[in-house]
Amino acid sequence: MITAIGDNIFCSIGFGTKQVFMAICKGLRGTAGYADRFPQCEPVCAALIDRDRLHQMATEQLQEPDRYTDLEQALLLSVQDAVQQAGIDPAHPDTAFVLSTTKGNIDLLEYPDPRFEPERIHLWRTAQLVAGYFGNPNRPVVVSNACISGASAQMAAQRMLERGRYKTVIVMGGDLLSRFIVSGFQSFKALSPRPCRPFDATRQGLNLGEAAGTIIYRTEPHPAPRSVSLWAGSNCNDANHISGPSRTGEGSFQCLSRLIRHTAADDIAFVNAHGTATAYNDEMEAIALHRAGLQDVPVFSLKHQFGHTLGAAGIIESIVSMQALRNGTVLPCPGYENSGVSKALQIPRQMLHTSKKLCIKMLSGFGGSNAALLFRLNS
Amino acid sequence: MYITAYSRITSSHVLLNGQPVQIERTDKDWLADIYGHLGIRYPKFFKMDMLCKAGFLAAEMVMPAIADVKRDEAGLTHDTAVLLFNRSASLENDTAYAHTITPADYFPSPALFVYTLPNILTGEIAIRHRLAGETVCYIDEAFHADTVYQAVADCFRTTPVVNVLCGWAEYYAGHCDILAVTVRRGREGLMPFTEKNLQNCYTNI
Repeated sequence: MITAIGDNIFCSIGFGTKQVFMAICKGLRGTAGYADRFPQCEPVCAALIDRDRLHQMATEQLQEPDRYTDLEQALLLSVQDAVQQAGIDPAHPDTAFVLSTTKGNIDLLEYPDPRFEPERIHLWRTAQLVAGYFGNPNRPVVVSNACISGASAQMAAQRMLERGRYKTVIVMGGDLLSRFIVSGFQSFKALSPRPCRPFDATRQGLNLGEAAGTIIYRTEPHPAPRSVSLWAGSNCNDANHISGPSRTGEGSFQCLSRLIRHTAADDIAFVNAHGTATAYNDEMEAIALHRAGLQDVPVFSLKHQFGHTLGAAGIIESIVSMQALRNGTVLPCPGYENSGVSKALQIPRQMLHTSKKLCIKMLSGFGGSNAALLFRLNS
Repeated sequence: MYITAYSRITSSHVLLNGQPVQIERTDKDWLADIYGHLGIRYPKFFKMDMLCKAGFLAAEMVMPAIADVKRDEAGLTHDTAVLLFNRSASLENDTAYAHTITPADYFPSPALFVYTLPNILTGEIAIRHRLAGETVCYIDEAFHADTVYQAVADCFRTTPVVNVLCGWAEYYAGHCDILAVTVRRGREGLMPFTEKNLQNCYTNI
C-alpha cells in the first residue's frame, strides 16, 4: 500500500488540486466550443488549458522556460507544485519519476520547432527532461498504455516502492491537444459537438481535454490521518477488439472483481467511472459494474468537466477521487439526466455526503485495455 | 522464473531460441515473407501497421511455449501478462497518419489513426492469443535488461500470473528490432530468467 503525500492538477479549470476541486464542487466545467483552434478540423468542444496563462506561469515560476515545450512546461509546473506541497527532495537518489502520456510532444511532428532537437518527439525524452530539471539521477519510467496510462503509471509506482529500491515516486501525467489528436478522434466520429453527457440517453460522444497532473507516493508504515492510500490496482485486457470495448465488459469486470476481493461493495463510497460519454464505453462500464455487484454504489464521471485528458485522465481523476474521499463527498455527474445504459446505475444528480473510506477509479482504452484502482482514506 | 522461449526479428535476421531461421525472400516485404514462412493464416495481419506486424510475428514464434496455460470456457486465459518496451512508441505509423492530414491533402484516415498508440501491439497480441491478463507498454530510450527484468519480476511478485510475454518491440524509420520472450513462474524452461540471460537473448544474433 502506498500513500499520496502531495498532488497537483493543472487543467482547463485551473491550477492546483484544491482550486480545481472547489471549482468542480461549484459546478464549473472546462469544456467549451472552439471553432478554429485546430486548422481544418471541424469545430470542437474541448477542455483546453489557456496557453497564455501557461506561458505566463512558466515565465514566473520556471528556470529557462523557453527550453521547454508547452507540455513539458505544464508537467514541470505541476510537479513543482506537488513537490513543494509534499516537502520532498526530487533530486534524492531514492526518488524516481514515472510519466504517463499517450502522445507527448506529437505536435512537433507537424510543426517542427527549431528550438527543439528531433529526439524531442520521443516520450522518454520528455520524461528525462522533467526528471533532469529537478536534478533527479534515476532513469525515469514511461508508460504509454492509451487511456489507462494513468492507472498503469500508478501501478508501476506501487511496484517500484514495494520492491524497496525507491522511497518516493513522483507520478506525472500529461497530454495536450493538437491537430493530430483532434483530427483522429474526428475521423472516428467519436466527438460530441457539445459538453458531453456521461451515461445519459442523449450522449453523443466524448470531449477531448488537456491536462497535466502529479501524484507523489511513498510507502508510509503509519500513514497520516486523512491521507489517502492506493490500496490495489488491476489491469486486464478484453482480448476482443483494438478500438472498441468488450460488449460483455469482460476486462473491466475482471479488474473490478479483483479489487473488491479486498472489501465489500457496501464499504465503497463511490466509483469514479471512465465515463467518456461514448455509446459503447458507458454501456460497457454499466455492464461491468453490474457483473461485479457494484450496481448500488454511486457512480460518476468527470469527463463533462475535464473532457477526456488521455494520459493525464488516470492521474487527475484519481486525485479528484482522493480529494472527494478526504472531504467525505460523492460528486454529481453533470450532463446526466436520463439513463442511457441498459443496466441501471446510481448516478447522483447532486453532491452527497459519505462517511465510507474506499473508492474505485475505473479506466478503459484502445488496445482492449482496462484498469481499476482502489483507494482508501486512512483514519 | 524461467525463460521458456525467445525470438528475435531484426531488419535482416530471424532467430528462435538463439537459432537462425532461414526465411526465403520473395518480392513481398520482409515481414510478409516471415508471415509466409511461419505458415500463419490470420488476415488481420495485413491491416496492421509495421510495429504491430513485427511484434505480432515475434510473439507468434514464442507462443507455443504457453500452449498449456489454463483457459476459461470462452477460451480466455487470465494467467498470462504482456509487458512490452520500445523506444519510438508508434512514431512509424504516426508519421504515416500525419501525411493524411497535411494542409494540402486533409483526409484523416481512421484506419491509420487507430495504430497511433504503441499499446495497440499488446492489444493485437492479446486478441490473437486470447490473453485477458495485464497488458502494458513502456517506453525507454534503449533496451535495458534491468528495467525489463524488474517489470516482469514485479508482475510475478504482485499478481498470480503464470506466464509473462515480455520484450522489446521497436520499429521506426525502417529499423526493425524485436525481442519476444516468454517467462514462466517456476523452474522449468530453457534458462533462468535473469538480467544477464535476458541481455544475451537480445544481444546474441
